Amino acid sequence: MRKKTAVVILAVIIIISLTVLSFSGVSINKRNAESDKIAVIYVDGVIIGGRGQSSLLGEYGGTDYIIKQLHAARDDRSVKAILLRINSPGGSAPASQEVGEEIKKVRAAGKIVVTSMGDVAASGGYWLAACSDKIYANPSTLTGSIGVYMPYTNWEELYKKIGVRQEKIKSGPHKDIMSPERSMTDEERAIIQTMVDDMYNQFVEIVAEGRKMDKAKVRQLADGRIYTGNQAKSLGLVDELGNMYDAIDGTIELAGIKGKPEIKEYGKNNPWAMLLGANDKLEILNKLFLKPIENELPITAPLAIPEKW
Amino acid sequence: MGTILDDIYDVIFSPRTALREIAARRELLSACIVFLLSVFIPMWAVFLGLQMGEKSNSLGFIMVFQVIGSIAVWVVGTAIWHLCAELLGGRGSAVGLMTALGFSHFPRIFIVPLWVLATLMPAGISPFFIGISGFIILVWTLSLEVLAISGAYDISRTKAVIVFLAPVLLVIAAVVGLIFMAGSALIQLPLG
Repeated sequence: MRKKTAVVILAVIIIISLTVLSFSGVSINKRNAESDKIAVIYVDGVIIGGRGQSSLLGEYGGTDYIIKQLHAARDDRSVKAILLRINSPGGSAPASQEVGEEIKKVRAAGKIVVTSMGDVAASGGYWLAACSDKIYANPSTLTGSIGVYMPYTNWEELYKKIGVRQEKIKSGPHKDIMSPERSMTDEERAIIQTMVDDMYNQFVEIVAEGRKMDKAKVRQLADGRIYTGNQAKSLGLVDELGNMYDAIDGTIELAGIKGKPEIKEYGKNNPWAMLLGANDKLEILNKLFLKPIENELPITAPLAIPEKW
Repeated sequence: MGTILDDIYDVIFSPRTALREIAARRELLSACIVFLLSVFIPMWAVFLGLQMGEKSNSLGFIMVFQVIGSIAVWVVGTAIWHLCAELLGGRGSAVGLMTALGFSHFPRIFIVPLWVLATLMPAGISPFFIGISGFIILVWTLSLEVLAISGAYDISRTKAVIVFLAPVLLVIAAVVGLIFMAGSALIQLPLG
């Protein structure tokens, strides 16, 4: 009987402990999480919509992943501000737009969003930056490239030389617009130009709204050229010159954080992700050895992508 | 039900005798109940404790890994330790060992109240408290597993430790052997 009583008491202690854990909301991490945090979200490489690579332990690349990180930072009450570390030549207009809109929503939810530009934050990269509260850039950062283009290659002459002739049965006259085996008609060129102009106007509006500039002034700057961080600062496209740590200091000040906040980096690669996240061994080797040596980042990327860029 | 409660008490306070008797009785159903409670309850507590502060992508993976790993170690471990024990002269049954091993996981359940205690401690101390108490529970569980082997095959504790470590030692020996073989093969390859 004594034995049974002892075990029953033990069972009661365990049930009470489980109840405390379930309903009181007390946890070791939660108490650690009470200190103010600044979330750092990295936007690296060409901005492309979609999921990117999925693996057993998470997702990598693609705007869906960036948006998930923004949502996680927004929902974490201990995160007082978000620092976007952008190192991107741009990407597609819809992808940049959807991330930009989410940045605006995060700001509307009460979180400060500050941008720190790395080597490059041009075109779509600048689109995201324009949606944030404050922009920091290094004096030699390449930024700007406010504009849109759709790349199109005409292989017609080559196809004639090698004897390739493509036949098509079309549902409409413009279904094969921008096909590489023929020249565009004037009407098609006008259609594409209208689309590019529409996207350009949307980009101009974002910059004008984000930077609180007159649209005419933005149009004057937005002829597609790139600027250094220094030039961008003098033109009002950037707020402050400084590196990521200056941006963190600025974020602390802007968010009114007292004391030293914890920096919480989102999307960091861990050893499990390195082992299970990459598609194959070559990708791991590429990540480990080749990426630091070669710099394949283009200066700017097209903001409208009709096919795989 | 009464027997399970008595067995649990005895496993905590007089483990050597208790595990020998449990192995002899071979009540596998009781062992299954104790084992599953010992795995799921602490896991649930750890999950509750971790998920509220910080959502982690790998948390679910770790939990699933923990359950599958524990069951695999229980079942596969029984088979391997049974073979090792018989090779070292032990006489007993695999079912008896499996039953005793099921009960030997019980100390894991103490993680639950200890976790709650840790949450009440100052932020700087609680991780150390969890770490130390987790280590003590691990050592306790491993000691009970050794006693389970000793009791199930009626062998000395020294022999039981050898049986317990034999699979690990065999794996290490196999890895070292493979490294030597791979090294020899590489030396044979022509350069250039």
